[in-house]
Amino acid sequence: VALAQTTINGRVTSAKGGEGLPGVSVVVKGTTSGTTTDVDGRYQLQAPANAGTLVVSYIGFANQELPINGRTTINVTLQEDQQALEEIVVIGYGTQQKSLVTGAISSVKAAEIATVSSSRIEQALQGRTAGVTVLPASGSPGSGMRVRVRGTGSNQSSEPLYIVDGVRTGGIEYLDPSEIASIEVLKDAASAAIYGSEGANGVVIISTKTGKTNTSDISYGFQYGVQSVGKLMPMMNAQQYQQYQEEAKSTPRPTAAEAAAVGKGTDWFDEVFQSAPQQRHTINFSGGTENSTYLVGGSYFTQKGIVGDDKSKFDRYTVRINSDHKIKPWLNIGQRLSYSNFSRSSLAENDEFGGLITSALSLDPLTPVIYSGQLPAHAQAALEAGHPLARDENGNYYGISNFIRGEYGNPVARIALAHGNTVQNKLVGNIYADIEPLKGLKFTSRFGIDGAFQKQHAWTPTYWFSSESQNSIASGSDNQNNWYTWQWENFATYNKTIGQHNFTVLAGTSAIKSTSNFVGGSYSGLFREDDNFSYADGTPDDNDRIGSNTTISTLGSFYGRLAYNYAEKYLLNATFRRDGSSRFAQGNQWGNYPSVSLGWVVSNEDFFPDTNINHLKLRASWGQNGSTGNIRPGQWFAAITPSGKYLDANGNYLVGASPDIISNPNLKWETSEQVDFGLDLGMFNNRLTFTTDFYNKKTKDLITAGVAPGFAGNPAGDVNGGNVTNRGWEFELTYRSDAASTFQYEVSGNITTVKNEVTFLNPNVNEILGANIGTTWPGATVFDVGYPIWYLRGYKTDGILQNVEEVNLYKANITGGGYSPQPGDPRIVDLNGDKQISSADFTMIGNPHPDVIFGARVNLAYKGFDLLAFLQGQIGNDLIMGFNRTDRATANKPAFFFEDRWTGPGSTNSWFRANTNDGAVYSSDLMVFDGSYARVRQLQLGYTLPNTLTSRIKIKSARLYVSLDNYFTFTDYPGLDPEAGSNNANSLGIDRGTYPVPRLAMFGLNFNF
Amino acid sequence: TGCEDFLDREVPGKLSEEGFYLTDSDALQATTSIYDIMQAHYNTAWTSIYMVKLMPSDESNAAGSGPGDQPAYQNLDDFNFDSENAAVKAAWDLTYRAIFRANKVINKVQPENALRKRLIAEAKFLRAFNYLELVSLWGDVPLVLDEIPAEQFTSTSRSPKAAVYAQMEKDLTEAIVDLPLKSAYSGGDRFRVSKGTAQALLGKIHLYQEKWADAATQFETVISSNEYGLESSVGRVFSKAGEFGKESLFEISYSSIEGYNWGNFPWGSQPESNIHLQLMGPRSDYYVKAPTDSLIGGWGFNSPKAKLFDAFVAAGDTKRRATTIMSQPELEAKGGKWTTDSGYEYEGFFQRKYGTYLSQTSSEEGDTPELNYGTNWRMMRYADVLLMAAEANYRTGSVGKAQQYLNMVRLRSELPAVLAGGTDLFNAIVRERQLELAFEGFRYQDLVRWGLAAQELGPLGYKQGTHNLLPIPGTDVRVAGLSQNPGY
Repeated sequence: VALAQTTINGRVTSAKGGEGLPGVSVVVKGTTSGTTTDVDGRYQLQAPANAGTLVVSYIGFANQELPINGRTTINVTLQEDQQALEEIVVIGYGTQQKSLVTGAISSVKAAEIATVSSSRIEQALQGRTAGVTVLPASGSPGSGMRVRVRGTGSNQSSEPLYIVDGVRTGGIEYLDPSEIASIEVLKDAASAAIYGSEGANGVVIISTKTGKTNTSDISYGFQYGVQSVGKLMPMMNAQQYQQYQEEAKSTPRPTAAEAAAVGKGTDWFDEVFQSAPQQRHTINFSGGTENSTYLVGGSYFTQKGIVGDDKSKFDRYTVRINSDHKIKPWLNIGQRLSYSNFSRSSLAENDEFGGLITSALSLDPLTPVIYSGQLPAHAQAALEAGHPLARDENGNYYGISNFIRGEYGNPVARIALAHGNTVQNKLVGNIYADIEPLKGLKFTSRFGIDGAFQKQHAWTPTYWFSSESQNSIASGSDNQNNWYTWQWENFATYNKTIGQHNFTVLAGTSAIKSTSNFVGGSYSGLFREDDNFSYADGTPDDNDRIGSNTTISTLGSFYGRLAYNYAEKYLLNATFRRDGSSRFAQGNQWGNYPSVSLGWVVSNEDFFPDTNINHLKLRASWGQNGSTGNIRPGQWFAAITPSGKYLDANGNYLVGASPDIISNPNLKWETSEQVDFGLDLGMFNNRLTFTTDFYNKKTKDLITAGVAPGFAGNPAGDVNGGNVTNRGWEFELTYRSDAASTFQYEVSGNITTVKNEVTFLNPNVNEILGANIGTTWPGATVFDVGYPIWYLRGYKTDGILQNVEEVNLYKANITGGGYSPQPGDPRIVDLNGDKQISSADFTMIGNPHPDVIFGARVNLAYKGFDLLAFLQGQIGNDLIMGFNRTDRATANKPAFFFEDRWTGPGSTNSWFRANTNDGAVYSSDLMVFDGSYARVRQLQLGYTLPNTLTSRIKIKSARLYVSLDNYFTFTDYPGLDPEAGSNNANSLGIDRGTYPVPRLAMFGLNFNF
Repeated sequence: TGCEDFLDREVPGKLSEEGFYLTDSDALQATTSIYDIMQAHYNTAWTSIYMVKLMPSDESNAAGSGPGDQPAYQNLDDFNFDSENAAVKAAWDLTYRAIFRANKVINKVQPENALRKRLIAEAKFLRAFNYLELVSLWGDVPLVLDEIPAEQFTSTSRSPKAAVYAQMEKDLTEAIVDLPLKSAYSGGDRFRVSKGTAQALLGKIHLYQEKWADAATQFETVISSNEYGLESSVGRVFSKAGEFGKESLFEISYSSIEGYNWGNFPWGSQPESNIHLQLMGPRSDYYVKAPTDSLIGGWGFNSPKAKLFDAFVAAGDTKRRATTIMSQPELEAKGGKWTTDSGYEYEGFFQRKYGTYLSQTSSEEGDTPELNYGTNWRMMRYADVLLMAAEANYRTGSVGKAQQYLNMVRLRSELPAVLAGGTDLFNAIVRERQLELAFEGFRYQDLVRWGLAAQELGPLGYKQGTHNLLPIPGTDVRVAGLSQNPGY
């Protein structure tokens, strides 16, 4: 019998913003009558005449049931679901309801990522979640980010493992933030253990955006910003420089008359820093039908440098095609595919030997940028000696210093002389098939690739700054690097519920093969000093060099997981992974990685009282992970390698060959073991959420470069050198307004404490010396028991020797020598009491690791306006000002060296006299500064156009915003940037002339059609 | 199984040790690697054992651009070096690396034919040569005759000097049997050590142990072999033409054919050219060469002391001096210039023995002359043997022979014969070694063994009881627990 039908229509809108919601399910309760809303949120359905209730549901919003009461037009306003805890988090090889997670997993969603202004997705993690540190390696365009999960766990690379859509990738620099749906960070061992030998430094899982069924969307984003340098460190002007050098008796130094002739002289920072633009366009097309969804997107990003403009430039475009298809009721297939291309030009930075910023720091203020009139005598003499002095585009000679030589040179000229760039093409993706032969059982097979193909090209024209910094013949180089990894994974998941018992079981295998190929060469004698002739074809062959190599490594794995819960109250997760790696000797190839974690959702207990607490969960986990990133294939055995060549008496080469290291067939996996105790709390219907974790992470059998005594006759290979612990607390607190209120706000903050300590050292290794600074500070960082990893080491000082009597008194106790101070020099402490000052007196003078890292955010929204403020910082880390070299005594120095200097008895007890060449003074704690800082990462004001306006112009939503990024920094560090970074783990905390992170003033807009 | 196959991968570019030391070609390559490591004086940084031996002497200053320029060399020059001195450590490490490679040849190559026997003999010589450096510079040292696994690092200790000397004597005695005469080598093989080289080194080892008669015997064998002779001048010995010439017993060979320029020089690696020549050239920021001279500019290290120049003048030595050291007035007289009056540790002199000569480098198209010096280090030469023979004979009372050998060297440099005996004769030998062998890296060890170091080097900071030995590198003390020398 056909019942009478009525037509009901209406529009579903969001309570926040009021825009139409597409794809919302609208169903007549208890019937099969239903539909989904169109792009404007409109729907129309046929309902039985006696229909009573309409059910409206949409992911991320609270369901609503509305009595029909005979109405034919029903408009619905949906509230966003405050049950944030019900969100789904991505875990290795699967997903889990957040409320049931037993590990320490932090999650960042697309909405938060949307405000990011950087080209780097890592920035989305910065300061947002406890336990995750993200620091830029440098402020130059396209430079990397250093991501640390719960401290520095290893002595070499401590980068986490990156999994993008299930594919492990070498890095995530190829992703644009607009491509990302979510980022999860698996912080504790139990969560990461499913990645076994690669999970020791944490795992970052990234899921890219996909289309949604029954939608069709276009979103476009645009950003334009201007970067500028923040606070500059004042350097000595010409008079200060001259006076300082005079007092220090450095040679060759200028006379007072020479200094007076140039006034304040050249401010090299003014000359090299400038404002520089950056721009980003992103577009995504997405949509789908019941059986297929798709997303096609692309982005373009371009950034010039605040030093060097287009000589320090980064361009990147990305293309993404994601699709999923339901081929059969039991078969889903799909693919994630991303292509990116970047081009980067860069200048030498963070290098006390000839880095560009270091040249700007070091060059004397008496040297002009260019010579406009007559050349001074020393430049004239160089010209007459036939040296190729560099000229600017107008034909003027660039200034060459008469006082500071060495590796330095006029930084403006150096920028002009830099030619070259790196271009990388990268393809990352996978194809997958999900088969569900019976309900609850799913089998997944996926094949992924990560291929990067990189070309570096550079050439150097002839120039002459000094006998130590010159190029007498134009030369070039080309390098090609290819990295290619494939992985094939097969795993099955089975879900079963028996009464209140819920089981999910996973079992799988994985095979990964990575290869890298390098070929490169250099050549000289370019036909013309011009880009067009900067290739080896057309140069004489005599000076050509070529090199090439290949590495191959494989990893085979078995893994499984049991997730169990009883009535969502008692939670258990157990995982196991067994990994085999070709990097080790037979017999040491396999490692086992177990984990177990438990949870108790107290708030789900019947006895739990009815309070404002709506969610309370206690968690505990233990697990083991490994790390192989630090070990190259074949490191465990001594190989016969061509060790060099030797000229015989007829002038022909003989080849020599010898073992390259002392073998260590016992070399084994680095293992990280971690316990974690956590608490999750939700109050006031989750308007307040709080999470805290205590973690203790112990990295055992750390793989380090071995140290052999010299008499062993060959370098030691890698050894399992020691243990490191990182332990601390993490706190995350968020408070947000009621979803219904017009004024929306959210305040959140996170704090992490980290205590890092080396707890064991292989007795065959003793201390391990890390980075040197300049030529007079060996082992400025050290790996040793009882200290933080790569702590800062140097002389301890105890005030300034004020007069001759104090000097004599001091020298009476330093009969062995090693340091010969004058009044005004620091009192260097003879720590070991051997009556001489030597590096045996070096001691810990600083800790490069922060004690506390923190982030805080405020979001406000009112009637279309929104404001975002985001602060991030760290406390307790030390920095060495490492660009002052005593072997280059006449290099310019920061002005405070002059202003704060000791000038006579009693003048100061905290800073030394003019002294440019005493290695002991410059290897002391006087060079160590507090590196704590707080930086306002973002201050963003946005406006979302009202729906009444956007619907008229057929736009779903439009938001305009302005943003100030990295604009305000609070720090006591006198150098250019407290985030002075380094990619080398053992150089952390050493400022060798860092490229400061620029400030950015930006305008942006987002449209959704 | 399939999975095991998947994990077992050959490592590209690595050959396991089991597959080596088997053939004649392997043996040749393994032996070449010993010579090669002895050539590694720059070896990623400035750490030449030549400079380690030269800096503590009274011949020259570290100099360069300033005191912090090459601190390891500067501290050696100033006698304030310690166990962390990078050059001392590298000298120790590289010496033991040569020994490690020699041990491999001696232990692993089977002496199945004449070639392999000779190569093993070369390795034994090279091992002894390096042990002599060790005992004369550091005293008691670990006697390492095979690879030491990591577990034994801490159980290895320093052997008494006598035991090390005994091993050297054994190695050389065995090597002498299997080594050919120098004249039996032809063509390219002339760089190899010969029977005479081994006999001379054995003599030197006796001399250092003050076994005067044994020393005299060995030197006599070398001299009477008629395999060696003096070149016409010291200048010729150190010229390109003098390489592997009749005065040469042992040299470390370098190349000028690499085509290095500023763009391709392997800084931080092991170049084939002798880059220390460039380090030691007159500092080119101030030096303008005379139009007719071929000595070009360098970086100004190893800058001669006036004391040495004065010693030449006092000895009336002009011909030899001209090829050893040049004064600023002499430079200016030839039309060159020195454009500053404040060069760091510059006393007004330029070194010409291991000089930055255009004739010893390459300036072909694309080559930078400053980076391609092929100048060999002269490790043992006949004039040195004659002077050692003179010393040994003086000690055994054979005054006539002592005078004869001394005067052979003097005559070549047109100096009058020494006819004195007694202490005067000894002093004449001392002075002759100072002048003949100036800048060659022997004087510091000579002064120490003669007991004259405190007298000659005291004013420069030398302290007897400390500076007669170098410090054991800190790494070896800390890692392996070696005892340290007194005073460090």
